[in-house]
Amino acid sequence: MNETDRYAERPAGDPTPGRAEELLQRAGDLSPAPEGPLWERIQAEVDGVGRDELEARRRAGGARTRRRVGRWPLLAAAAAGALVAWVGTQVVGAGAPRDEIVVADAALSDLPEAGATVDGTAEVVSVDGERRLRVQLDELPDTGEGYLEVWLLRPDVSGLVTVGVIADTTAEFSLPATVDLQEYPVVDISREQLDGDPSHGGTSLVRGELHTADAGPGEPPPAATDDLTSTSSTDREAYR
Amino acid sequence: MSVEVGDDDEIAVAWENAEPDALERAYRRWGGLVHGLARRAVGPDDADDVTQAVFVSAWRGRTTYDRGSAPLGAWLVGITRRRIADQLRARQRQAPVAQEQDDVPDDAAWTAADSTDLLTVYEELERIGDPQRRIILLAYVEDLTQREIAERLDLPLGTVKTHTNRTLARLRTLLGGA
Repeated sequence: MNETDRYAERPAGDPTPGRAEELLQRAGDLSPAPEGPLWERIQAEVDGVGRDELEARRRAGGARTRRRVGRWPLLAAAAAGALVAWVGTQVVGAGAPRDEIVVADAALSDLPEAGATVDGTAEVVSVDGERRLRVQLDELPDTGEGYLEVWLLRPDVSGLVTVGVIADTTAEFSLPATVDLQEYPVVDISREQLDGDPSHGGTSLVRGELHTADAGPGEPPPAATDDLTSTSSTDREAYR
Repeated sequence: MSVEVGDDDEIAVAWENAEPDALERAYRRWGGLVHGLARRAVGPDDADDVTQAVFVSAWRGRTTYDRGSAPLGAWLVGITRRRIADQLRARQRQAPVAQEQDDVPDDAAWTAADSTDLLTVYEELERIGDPQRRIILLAYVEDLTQREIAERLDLPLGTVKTHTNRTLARLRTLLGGA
């Protein structure tokens, strides 16, 4: 290729390639975003969550919010808790019978686009003041090379909270008091790849909406939720 | 390089208004640049920490950002320079015996002077903005000819050449005429 065409003529008196050009060439393309959970770490620090805490939560399968959750959801959750019924079942594995309150429940249905035919149930119970999300699936969906992750979504999928990994047909997760189930009522189970990317992988297999125990017969699960199942890579960016 | 002309300024406006998604948009746009510059200066192991420190401190200090005095990208590269300096100082305190860049074989060819000059180049490109920035990156990072750049950006060939010459001259002056 013609050098004169490739690079503009050098300014007079400077026959050698400049240092700036040489550095740019050596550095190569710096535009791709860094890999790994770096964005997650930045967001967590900005939101006041320490990195150790973030790691601990991830290891424990606990929840972390993607958007800042304000103080008012605490009050809303407390108000919902005051209206629920006592059922008093025994928690498996607990030393002694403990009272638990069903705060909310949901029927989980498979999403047709996902190619899975799995239904199940989810319920949120309050055990000694701690809320737990209990998920039960009729059978374990095919995870391929990946794994299944449980999320709570806003009905319009504008925000989401990761709850933890589910590896069996039943699982129970501890929910932080700051997660408002009125705001994030949709239980979603997605298929995730082992790619180190902590954001929603875009393939939802099973979904259902939680209805608080005092709400009476609820509306059907939100078929209109813009399915994560059909998200393009561009849409997926929005969840990162 | 998929970012279109005009996006940068939109992000800067969102940043100034402290819109909730401004930090994420800025990270999507400049995270790679900040990380890439940090990597050349401190190596891959510490580049994540520097990048995190850059975006966190930039967001916390966003009220000090003035769109009138610098484009957001140039401001972020300036912060990157300071966080890199912090990191290198911390490293010196921890290991007074010089073991400079032993752990960074990938970037062993990058001396402190190189990475500092690279910061200067990118800070200036972000300050000048498009189309000059894109012209220079297409020429020297993507290795396109002036003619190809003209076609890609739908600009007259003469304009591309003029921008290239002027921008290179500007960079040369900043780097001390080397």
